[in-house]
Amino acid sequence: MPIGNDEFRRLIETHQRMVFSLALRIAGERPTAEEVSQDVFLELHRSGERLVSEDHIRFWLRRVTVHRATDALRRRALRPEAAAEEWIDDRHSDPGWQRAASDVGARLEDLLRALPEPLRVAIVLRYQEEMLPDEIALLLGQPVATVKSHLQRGLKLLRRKAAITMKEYVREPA
Amino acid sequence: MNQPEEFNQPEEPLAELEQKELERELMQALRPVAAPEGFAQRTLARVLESNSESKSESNSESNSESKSESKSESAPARFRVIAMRPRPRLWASAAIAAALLAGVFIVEQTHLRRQREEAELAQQQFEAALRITGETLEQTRRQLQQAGVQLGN
Repeated sequence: MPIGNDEFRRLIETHQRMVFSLALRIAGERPTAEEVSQDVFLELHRSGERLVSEDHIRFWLRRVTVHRATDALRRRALRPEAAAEEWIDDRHSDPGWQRAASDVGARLEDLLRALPEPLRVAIVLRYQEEMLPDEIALLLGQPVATVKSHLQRGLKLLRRKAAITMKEYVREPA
Repeated sequence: MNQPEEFNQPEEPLAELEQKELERELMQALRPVAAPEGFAQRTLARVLESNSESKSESNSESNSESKSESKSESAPARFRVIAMRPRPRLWASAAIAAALLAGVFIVEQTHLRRQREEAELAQQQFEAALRITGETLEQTRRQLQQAGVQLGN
């Protein structure tokens, strides 16, 4: 039996921030993130009877969101011209992306968008969801060593990019 | 809350971004953001819409099944169900039948073409064999003539 409407509304309100943020940071744009998030909740509504606890639901939501957002990202990568237009439109229309150039968080998010997909997914799960590497490995169905390698490479790339574009973060030589 | 963990030591500590500082900044930067306003309502609306679609589909299917089984239904109701249900299936059946016919036609044509090609090849081989035999006979006849052997005709 599917989830009742009241219970379903409560689940949306509880988890919408997490689902939307994951989708946004992986897929990279707000319209796609909203579409992905809605699809994830629709799927939750259909398969809700099989989910037995809040932890199970959270785990399920994270996993399905990552997969759906990754699929959306890949679909968009297949049509790079459209993707570039949407990305530019999205950035200009979204006040969230128009933060001052000195906003470190905004610039880190920009750098994150430039990371390859597996590294980006690992970084988002580690630093947005504050998951440990073995939890990420379980969620993604990957070996822990792979997840650690993705995290290492992701941080290394971010540090290099930040060293170039964010001078204030580079420690001056003594 | 899990504390940041060092996954990689900076290779050049004086020139690279501080690892822990980067991890702290990442945690700050990647805090969950609010979903767009009205997200929950839009999602619920999609669920209701999806539910009503699936209900109407299942209703029409169960109606058509029960009515086709029941012989005591009134004629207009039966005709309505028949008129509603088969239209997409009729087109689908027609399309499948056309595809099958086209497939059979193509296979048949391919088979006939292959037979024709094989027959032509056999004819060419037969003609070549005849020519070679004729030439051989002619050569033998000339050799016999040169040797003084007279053949009839």
